[in-house]
Amino acid sequence: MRSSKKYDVIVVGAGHAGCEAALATARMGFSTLVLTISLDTIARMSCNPAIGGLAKGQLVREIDALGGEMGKAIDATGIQFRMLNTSKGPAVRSPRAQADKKEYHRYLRRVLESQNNLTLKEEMVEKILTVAETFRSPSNGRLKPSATSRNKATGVKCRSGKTYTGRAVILTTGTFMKGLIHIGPKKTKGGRINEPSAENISGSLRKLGFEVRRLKTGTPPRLNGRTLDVKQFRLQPGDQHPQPFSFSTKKINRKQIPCYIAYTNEKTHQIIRQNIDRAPLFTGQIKAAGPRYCPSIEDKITRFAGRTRHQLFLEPEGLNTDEVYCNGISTSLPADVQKKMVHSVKGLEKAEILKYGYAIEYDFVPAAQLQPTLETKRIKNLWHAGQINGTSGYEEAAAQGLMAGINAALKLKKQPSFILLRSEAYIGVLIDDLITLNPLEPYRMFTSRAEYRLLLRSDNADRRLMPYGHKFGLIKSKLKRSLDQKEKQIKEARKILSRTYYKQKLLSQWLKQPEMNWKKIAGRSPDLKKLRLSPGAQQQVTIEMKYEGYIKRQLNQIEKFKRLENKPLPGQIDYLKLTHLSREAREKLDRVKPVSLGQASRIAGVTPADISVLMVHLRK
Amino acid sequence: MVIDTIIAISTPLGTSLKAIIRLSGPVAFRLVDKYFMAEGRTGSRKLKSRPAWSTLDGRIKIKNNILIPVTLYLMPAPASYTREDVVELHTFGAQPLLEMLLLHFVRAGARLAQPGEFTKRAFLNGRLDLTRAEAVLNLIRAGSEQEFRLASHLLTGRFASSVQAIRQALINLISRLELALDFSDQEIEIITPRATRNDLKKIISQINRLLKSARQQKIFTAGTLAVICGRPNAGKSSLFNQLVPDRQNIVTPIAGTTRDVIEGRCFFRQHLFRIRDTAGLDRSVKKQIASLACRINRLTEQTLPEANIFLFVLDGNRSLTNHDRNIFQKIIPTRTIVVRNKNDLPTKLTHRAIRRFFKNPSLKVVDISALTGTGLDRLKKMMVRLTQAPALTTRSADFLINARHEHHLDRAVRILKKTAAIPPSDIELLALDSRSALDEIGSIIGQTVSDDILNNIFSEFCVGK
Repeated sequence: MRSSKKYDVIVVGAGHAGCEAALATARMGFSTLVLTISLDTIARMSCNPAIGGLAKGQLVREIDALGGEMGKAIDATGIQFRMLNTSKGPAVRSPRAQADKKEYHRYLRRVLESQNNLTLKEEMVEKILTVAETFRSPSNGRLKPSATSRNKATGVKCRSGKTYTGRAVILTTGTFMKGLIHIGPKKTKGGRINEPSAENISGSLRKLGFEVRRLKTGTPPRLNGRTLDVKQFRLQPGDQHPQPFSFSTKKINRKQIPCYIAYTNEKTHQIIRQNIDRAPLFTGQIKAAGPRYCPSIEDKITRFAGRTRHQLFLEPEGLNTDEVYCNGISTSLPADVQKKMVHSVKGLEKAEILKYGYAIEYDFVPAAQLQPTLETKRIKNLWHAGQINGTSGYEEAAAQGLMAGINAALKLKKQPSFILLRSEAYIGVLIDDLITLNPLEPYRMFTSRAEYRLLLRSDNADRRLMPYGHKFGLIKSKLKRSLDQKEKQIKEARKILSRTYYKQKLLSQWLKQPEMNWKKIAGRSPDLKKLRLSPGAQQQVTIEMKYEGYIKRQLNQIEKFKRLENKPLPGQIDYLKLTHLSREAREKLDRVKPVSLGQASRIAGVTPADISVLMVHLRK
Repeated sequence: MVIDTIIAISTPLGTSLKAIIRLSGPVAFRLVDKYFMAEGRTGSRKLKSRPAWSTLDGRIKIKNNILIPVTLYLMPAPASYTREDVVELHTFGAQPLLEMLLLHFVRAGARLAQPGEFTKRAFLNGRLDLTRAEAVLNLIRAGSEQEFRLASHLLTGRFASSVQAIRQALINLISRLELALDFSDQEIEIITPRATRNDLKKIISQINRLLKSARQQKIFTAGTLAVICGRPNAGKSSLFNQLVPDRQNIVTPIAGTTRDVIEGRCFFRQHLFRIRDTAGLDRSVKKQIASLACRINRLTEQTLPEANIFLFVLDGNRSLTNHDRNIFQKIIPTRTIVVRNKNDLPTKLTHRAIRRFFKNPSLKVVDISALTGTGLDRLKKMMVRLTQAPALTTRSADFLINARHEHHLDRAVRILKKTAAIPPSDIELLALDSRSALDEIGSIIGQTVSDDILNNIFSEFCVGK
């Protein structure tokens, strides 16, 4: 074996999950090696050129509050910012931005390159290296293997023949494990269009005993912006005052450009219908499950045959490129059909297709095989993050990367692990859903997945999570101090509001009225005016007052929720032998091996009676 | 861990004159205190300050100023079975009474106990030693299995489909609300404030209708429905009175058909039967000018399709006629017991003659005298054998589940009424409250999770860029 260099942490992959994972471990003081097939594809956006959106915007704010990089990256490279759901309550408002795709990649590459403790290398990983865990024998002080099989990751082996040793290995393989690209009947091996796939990692995981399955996702064609007749489209401008994602960004200074909306028509649909026998999704060529919330255009037309048109979002991929992303017609139809289909759209008659849409199948490792820290149950010191866990979306991937990175670093520091509860963060909902529900189709975040949606807002992610980020050394003290200051102001303002009367009504009551705003309220109390609340603090107080009754109710529910959450279930329970459980519960519990009664109660098929049985069993 | 106060009826159903309702948990004393009026001068002292294991006579006041006489047994923690505060209410074993009491305390804040829950608490609180753990587990398992069987038995038929319809309506509403929140960046049909209001109104009236009919009948659809049919004067009413002894107490007229059909409930060997008598029909039509065919048709329409078993009464000392044949054609022979009545008088019909007349050699026939009561035990045995329903035992008798249903439906209505008052632009609040209502319905027929709603969205709406 060739000599191998030693690192604390090895991150495989430099996509949205890999970048966050590597930055977290390096910033927490551990020498980190990032291995990627190509340095030119770091943080590449394989699909749409946008960050955030409904529920995803909340995730980005949470990543930022914990000290991740995604929010800063999009603030630095965004070319159109929009706050979504502004007509609805603050709980469901989400920031979204179009990114300059190339700039986004360059920004993150620069950040990784300039990060202390972080080394980047171009390598294709082929195998996870493992050993059987050892312990020091108390009788003679020698090291002895404690397990009969290999159960601890020690590094990776690459196609170049080199091996790298690491005390922690974080796998973020995206769509690259045995990636197979479909355009019409044509099948090509690849992790993204024109990029090689990683053919051997999943086999190595299988050999270690992991269950590996397949998923599918897809992407639409890219068009040449100069060939579009934009007069035919509806203009979709960004917000007048772009609001940043990151709590440390003061202002967005980049040039902002609009997107356009076009529509398919009966002719488009007819073209697709006539060629449906050439669509891999319908011929049986693609077997893996794809995302139902992001169906291909051929799927939309087949399933919703009654609709006469579908929306198309034309999103520029950057300021210095003519490439336009054609959001809404993800497809794997053959190239000639894609061409006809695009040209049938009003305004796209002469559009030149720069890159054809395609579907991709890839290997993933169902997430019930993970602990809540994202470390695998089977192999110690091995973490999985991103699409390898069956998710879709840059934001979902980045969130997992960050959590895997933080937990790997904490383990190396021999500190308690970091698990966010469903009541604390969308990230908590995301990871709990993954390991409990074990999704077998691509998982995307929705606000409706969060029980405590009114509390998990994008506006208060800093208040919820920044103290953690600071504790781990990922948030600078200056930022934390301004958060403390904000908390203090909020507390004082609430005190004044709840004891100052105006026209026989408490100011807090006045603030609840829809036509009220902070300025009017502050005008009625000199004390309040004197506080000089920052806009951020004003917003927090106003929102909390508006939702007050509901927030109280949700906090009560959280108290109840935590009681079961705090009841740990030891890992060694043999559920298959607990005959008092229903058969279904036995099998499901055995598969998921929940860490708490709370998690057990969320497994489909586990009834309250089963939970009772577990409680009694725990006492035995 | 344990914080709520649970309640259950802890005596076998329908079998004893006296019944016990037991409450256990931190607010057991307080809940009873609130509605209890002691007899005599002992009046104002709080229950909590009374000596342990004391008893107290008085009355519980429930809504509409109904007073129910009870004897309280007070067992403060830790000297009780569960090691929590326990109060037992001893009262008469009349079902409607128990049902009212139970619902009353559930509305006041108690929770209906799960199978084996008192024993489980006793165990978790250290009252039972470890050797009993196995027994506790068995109890939970058996209880939940029985509840499941009972629930699936109960949840067939009209009640279940009404609840199912309500659930689907709620899921549809929530889907559209969630769509407006989670997919507002796409071209979708956003729910209008008016549509939200209409949907809410519709669902509320749907639940109210169900509650009303359920309350009128005092029963949902539990138990085996045995319909007594036969010619006038065959002795149907006498048989009904024999089978449903305590008629005064439990006979309830069916809504809308009051003059035609009456129904009573009874237990044989832990099986619940609803006995439906069509006797009233004879009396009323005698005054009308109507043909027999017309009468039979009406009877068929109203009652026969719902019947689980038929008790076909024949007059043993009269010969069979075309009327009998007409009736026989309307019923299902395999689920019929032919009751040859009046065997205290000289009989003209042999079993063989009956089977030959109806051209059915395997027909079950039993001899009774509705007047003297002979043969009734054999009839009851045959009825139990014929029924497919599971036996009811102490814990989860049907009306307990009914009380639970009523409670959840009631809560759902209350939540939805509040929801309807939320400004229509606050979609996230509308969604939150509608979900709480869905949770209540879910407690009757299985929980709904966010995935179910997302599935509904994906199948109903074309989402996705």
